[in-house]
Amino acid sequence: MIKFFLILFFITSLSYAEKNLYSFNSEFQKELFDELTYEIGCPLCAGSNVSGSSAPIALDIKEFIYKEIINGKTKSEIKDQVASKFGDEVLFAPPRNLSTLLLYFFPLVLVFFSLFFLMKARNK
Amino acid sequence: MKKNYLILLPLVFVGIISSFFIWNLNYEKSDTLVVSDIPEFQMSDLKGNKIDRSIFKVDEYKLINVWATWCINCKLEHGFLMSLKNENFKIIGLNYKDNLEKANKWLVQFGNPYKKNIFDQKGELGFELGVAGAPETYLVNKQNKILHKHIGIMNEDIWIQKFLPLIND
Amino acid sequence: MIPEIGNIFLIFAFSISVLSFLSSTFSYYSNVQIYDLSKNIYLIFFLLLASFFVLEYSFLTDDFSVLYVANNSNPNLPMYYKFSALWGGHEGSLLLFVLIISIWMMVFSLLSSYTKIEDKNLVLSFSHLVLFSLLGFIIFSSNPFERLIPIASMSGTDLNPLLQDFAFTIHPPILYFGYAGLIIPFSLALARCFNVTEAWTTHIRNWTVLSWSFLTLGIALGSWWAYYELGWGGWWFWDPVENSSLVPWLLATALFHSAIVSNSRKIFNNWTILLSILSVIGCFIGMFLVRSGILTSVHSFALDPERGLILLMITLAITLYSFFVFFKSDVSDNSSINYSIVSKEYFLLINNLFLVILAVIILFGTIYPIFYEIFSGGRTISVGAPYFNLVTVPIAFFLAFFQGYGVLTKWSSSPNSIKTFSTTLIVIAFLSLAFSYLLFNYLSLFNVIGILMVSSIIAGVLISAIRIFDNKRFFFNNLGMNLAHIGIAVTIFGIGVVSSHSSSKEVILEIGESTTLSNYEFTLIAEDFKEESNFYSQIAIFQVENLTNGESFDLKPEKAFYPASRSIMTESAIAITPKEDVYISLSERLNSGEWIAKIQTKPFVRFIWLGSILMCLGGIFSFSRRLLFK
Repeated sequence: MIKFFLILFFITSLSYAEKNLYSFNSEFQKELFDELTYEIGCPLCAGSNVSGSSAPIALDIKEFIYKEIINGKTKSEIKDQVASKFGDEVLFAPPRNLSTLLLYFFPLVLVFFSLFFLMKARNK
Repeated sequence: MKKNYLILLPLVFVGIISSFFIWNLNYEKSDTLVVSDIPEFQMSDLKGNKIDRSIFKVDEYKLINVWATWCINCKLEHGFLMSLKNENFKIIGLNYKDNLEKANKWLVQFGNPYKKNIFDQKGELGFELGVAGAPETYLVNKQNKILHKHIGIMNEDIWIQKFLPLIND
Repeated sequence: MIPEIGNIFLIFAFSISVLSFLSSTFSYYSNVQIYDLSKNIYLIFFLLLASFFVLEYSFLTDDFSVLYVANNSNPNLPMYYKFSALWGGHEGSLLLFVLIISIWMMVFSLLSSYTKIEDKNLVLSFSHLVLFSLLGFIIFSSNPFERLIPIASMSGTDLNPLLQDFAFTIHPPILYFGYAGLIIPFSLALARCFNVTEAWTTHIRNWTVLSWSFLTLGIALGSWWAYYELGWGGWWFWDPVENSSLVPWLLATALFHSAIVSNSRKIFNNWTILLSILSVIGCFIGMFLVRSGILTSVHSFALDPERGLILLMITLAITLYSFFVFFKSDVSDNSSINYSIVSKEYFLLINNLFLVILAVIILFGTIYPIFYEIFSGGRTISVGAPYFNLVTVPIAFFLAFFQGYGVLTKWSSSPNSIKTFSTTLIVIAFLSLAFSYLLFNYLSLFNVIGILMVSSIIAGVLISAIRIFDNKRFFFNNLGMNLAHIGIAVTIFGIGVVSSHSSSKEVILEIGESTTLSNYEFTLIAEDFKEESNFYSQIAIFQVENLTNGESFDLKPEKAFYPASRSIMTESAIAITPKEDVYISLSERLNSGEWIAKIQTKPFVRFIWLGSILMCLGGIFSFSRRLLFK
């Protein structure tokens, strides 16, 4: 019986000699990888993120992100590293700081403005 | 009926963004300007000799030129690099993701504009430097800091407009 | 010689268009009676059509002495793509755009009747204003007939391989039909400012709905194209080109809803006029962003800044002119109309405000990098999908939620509002439960939001459908609207599921090896090679087995090389099953003979485009019914 399972195991391990390009220790790491490859753009192909690009440099950046995740780096550390090499424009999610204050607050201002307008229109 | 002046709000919006557009259209776009150091590295040159950061000598300006035999545009800028060499400007080649044999053959066939060549088969040093592809040319100052990155073909115009002002500063 | 004839046709069309505009304006101010100028548009149409065919002739005969042909075609390009290469670049696509504007003007002229001929002249004159501005731009700064003198190129640089594709050949024309169509409501609105009141709201409503249908279909085609042609399974990238088509779409959606109110209640009139103007300005700003090269993007036409500047000047001139006309005008609302908070008017007001806000936010995010570059002294930033998803989804949620209940409200005030509201809530709850049960495998917070949106829209449609039967009203009355609303629900459903439940993995496989993803097993069984007239490609053949039912099929993704432009393309292979798409794309072949491939499953991704088709059909149905049964 044990022999049978061994054979079964052997067969399956043979036919599944698949290599995952990126294999992770935890679900958290995989999610971090997915988030980073979604938020980091490919420097050669404007508009597309590294997860959605086949350019060699996109593969290199993915490889780099993967290694740094395995090394236990945090999300912002990895983003800073990539940006310091390839420039800020590879970060698709704009950083939240003073220079992007307007970007994040403008939508809110518009929504409040329109709510105010709707309240006024109601009194007609 | 008296018009509500709020109607003019969209006009103001369009006006503001257009003035920014005009500004931007006339604005000399600079390449990525990052001042960064040359990292430590242990690589070999195209002859198989070990080289490291010490090939970047202090107290002189030099270029790093990223090239490869698979890169068509590298052929187009080769002539210009040769003329720079003849002016005794030091160029360090970064042979990027290439084949050793082909690279050596290329240098014999077309001439060698490089003082030293770093053979970066896997693009590891290239990645550290932020190389996205070939050709790319970086200006390195006397303190071994990268002052300017040019992506794409090098030529006389770019040299005069983008590189010389930085060197003469 | 032949290309020069094409150029002469363009110049004639330009002159006639300028003259039509001037004589209409002259006759308006001087009260001099003039002839029916609407006939001019037939002549312009034939001239532009002729010039279009002249350029086609240059493409089909490989006349590389024409600069534009040399830049966008190649002797080895298949005939079909030589034909469509005409709109593969800036100049040609602009020629197609003005041709389509003239088609709209002609169709409008044929289908609408005015008691006073001056009124029709005046309406068309504003379309002429846009038409001749663009014609002038083509002739003086973007001429597709420009020659490559003295040396003609022997062979062209080829059409961008990304554009050598069926969806791409029909995507631009359909999108242009959408943009160009918005010029009709724009003209009607400006004419209203000059007191052309005859059926103006009916016209604005109908023509906006029709061009909106084209716009919807065009955007959906673009998204479908990106999905299978860019090779990585994304269907929306929030890139500047896509955003510049979405902004006019949102404005046009707001516009025809506002025109419904203006039409039935004679209120919101100024708002309708403003939106008509803004939709066209939105198109022009989008055109500027795409064509000036100010924002680099995957599919933008790389161009010199001078052309961008001219295009911006045209945009500004049209903006200033139309706002001047609008501000000088005296359009008033019916002041006797009152409406309560639970009324169709109020809900359409909510709809309009949120749609416009959405448009403004998207435009703002798209151009923010330009501001940033100026204020930060040359540093750059990208505003991409993470930002747009964050800011648009909450607003879209409220829009969908109000949409469901909104269709159930009545003009002025809805008497049984509490009863209707509670019924709606019950139906929404029921539908949400049903969807959650069906989608049990796919539940997540994001999907619960999606399900609520979908349920509320469908609840609205269902309840209103039942009411229509109660009241024995003609069912066809609202069929177009209901179809379009269901279309939105279907699209949201697709977006919700595919965004949160796609699965993907990247693997290295050699021939004979297998891997599993979701409930499929993928085996790389063989490699192949193929050579076509203008490219050759490596093919990897995968056998995919569905582990639940044991069925299997082959997928053959390719890596294609185009020698003329020296570019490499990833041709993905997609299997469509009722529930999901199975998607394989190759990334590279290692020297060891192994392939790096990305395999993905995309559940319900087809619903995104299915919904768009429903929206388009709804719009076309609504237009044709109003036209046929006036």
